[in-house]
Amino acid sequence: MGFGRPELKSTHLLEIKALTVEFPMDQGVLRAVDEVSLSLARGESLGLVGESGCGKSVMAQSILGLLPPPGRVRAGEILFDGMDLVKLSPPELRKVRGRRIGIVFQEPMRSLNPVLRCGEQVAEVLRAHRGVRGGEARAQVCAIFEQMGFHDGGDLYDAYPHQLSGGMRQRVMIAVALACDPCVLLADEPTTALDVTIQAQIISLLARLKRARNLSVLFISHNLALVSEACERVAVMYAGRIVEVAPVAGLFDKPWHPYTRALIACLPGVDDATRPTPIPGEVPHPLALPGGCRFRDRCPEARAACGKEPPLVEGEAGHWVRCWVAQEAVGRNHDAE
Amino acid sequence: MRSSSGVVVLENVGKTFRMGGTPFQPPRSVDAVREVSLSIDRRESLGLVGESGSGKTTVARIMVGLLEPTRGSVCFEGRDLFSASAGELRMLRRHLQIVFQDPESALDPRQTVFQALFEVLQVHGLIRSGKGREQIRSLLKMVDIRWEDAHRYPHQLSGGQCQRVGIARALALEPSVLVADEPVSQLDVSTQAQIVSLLADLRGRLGLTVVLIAHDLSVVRQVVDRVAVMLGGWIVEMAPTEDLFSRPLHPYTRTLLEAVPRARPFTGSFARTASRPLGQWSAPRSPAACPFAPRCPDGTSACAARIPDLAPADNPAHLVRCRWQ
Repeated sequence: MGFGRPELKSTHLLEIKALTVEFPMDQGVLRAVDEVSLSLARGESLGLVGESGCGKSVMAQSILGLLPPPGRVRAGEILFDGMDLVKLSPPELRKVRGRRIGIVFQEPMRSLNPVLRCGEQVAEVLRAHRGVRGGEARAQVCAIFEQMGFHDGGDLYDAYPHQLSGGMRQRVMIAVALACDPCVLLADEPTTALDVTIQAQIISLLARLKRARNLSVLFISHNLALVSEACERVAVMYAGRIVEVAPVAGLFDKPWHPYTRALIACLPGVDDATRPTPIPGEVPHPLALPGGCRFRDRCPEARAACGKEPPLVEGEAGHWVRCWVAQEAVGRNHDAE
Repeated sequence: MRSSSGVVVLENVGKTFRMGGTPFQPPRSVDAVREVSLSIDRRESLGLVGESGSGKTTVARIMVGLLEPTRGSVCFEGRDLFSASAGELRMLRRHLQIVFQDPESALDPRQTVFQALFEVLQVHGLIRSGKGREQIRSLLKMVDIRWEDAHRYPHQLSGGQCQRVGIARALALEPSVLVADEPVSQLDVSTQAQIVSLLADLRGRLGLTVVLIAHDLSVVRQVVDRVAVMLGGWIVEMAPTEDLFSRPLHPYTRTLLEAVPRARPFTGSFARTASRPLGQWSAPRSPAACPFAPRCPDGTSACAARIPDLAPADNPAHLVRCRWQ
């Protein structure tokens, strides 16, 4: 779509610095995201992986100022194109949300308005941000639908969400997110409610759109295999903390953190008959985190030193890990060389 | 077809739902299950795999006697479920239990775990006097739920824990057949592994016959003996697990296999064939057509006219419904 994007000022399109998000509750303050720093370069796709309750969706919500009450950003910055999104006023944030940063939510059934035709929901974004109206809006929406691989954009424009399958609805959601040609797309578990075949279609559609538009994508998922197909770099999150960040190849060749290894071991393999190994225990409740390393209680390699929380350290270029045991092993390897 | 010696035998089962019929909409009918014949052996574990709308959930509900088929018959240990009297059906259903897909909505939000299990035992008159607590304790132990969690409500439990409670509830009646309808599709991958291995262990320990339903072939791979692939209300391929995964014959089975995300590094190429059916959300089809024909790389006009029979391919246990095999 020939709108052209404004020039950006930094190499990192989106930079999250020491972000802390809290939810004050009756039982205490729940810290969902704890001093998380991440950066997303232009045209890069970064996967954010973790189990339910690790804080990955809260990350996406805080970027766009969509935290459900009583959540609030306690500390940290979210820098996008020289602005700190945390400090923007609601009207200023509205200019960014949907226009320069798009988001696709997990459940397309709950995210689309059931009484509006699909096309109108995409047109609404164009109207709000670009002032495009009437026949012009319809033409543009149909063009977006056709770009996404639909033969007849007009048919889809007039369909209601309940007439579509889950995969079609998710494509409409992606069209809503990309209507204004944003440079960042946040995809929060975009395929979780879908069949594997539809999931594969959505992932390849996202990859194609990413290449065609030089999008930066933050892809949030609980499935490490899916992330490895869709992303160049992966950040693994556990109980509100980033525990490992690495390029995809590095993460699978040398998963340093025991939690990353456990996530890889529990993936069901379709090409061989080895049974996946479940991770023992449950994710700790955010109000009752163990002191020190948060994975300590479930970790097969835990030792006395883990009573103190390890820092996130760069062991190799671009490969960071938050684990005493891994850091020691990497240090030994470096000494040996 | 296999001999009908199985513990559960479905013969030419079909289900047509009538829908609509409001002042604004003429009634129409949907063939959720076209024709399914299936014989499940005692202590066998069968995987039933297919996309949404393939009819796998309908088959599951028919199998446990929750839904009466429009055509065909369902037998459990030689007794026809739907010619039985209401009282008899209730007796038979005790042996055929189901675990539902969405663990949180399958549990009553106002009942604690203990109450949910107690109710099941009570309704079926299985509480041994003064032993109810012990019975529930051992059920919870079987599914690895701590006794401290017995007095919690579903919203206080994680998705995986809710699903364990659902399994415990199904096991409370000491069934011989357990049907798990997409037990893991709403769970994290890490929790999926827990639930699937729990089902496999329980099957070994209790000598259960297990039917595991999933849309993802990788979920069933390691734990079932035989896999049936469903599409559009038909079984399109059925084979022992190793045969199916080493030599998938139906192009739809191959599509399902390709669609499974592999843990492999980013290559930048997405040469996957699964992206073919874009834009076919309203494609009209002849009712007797092979439902895969519009998406099939080898589809011909003959495929669009009539689906072939489920016939043995290279060995008698490997059945496939495709004219190219």
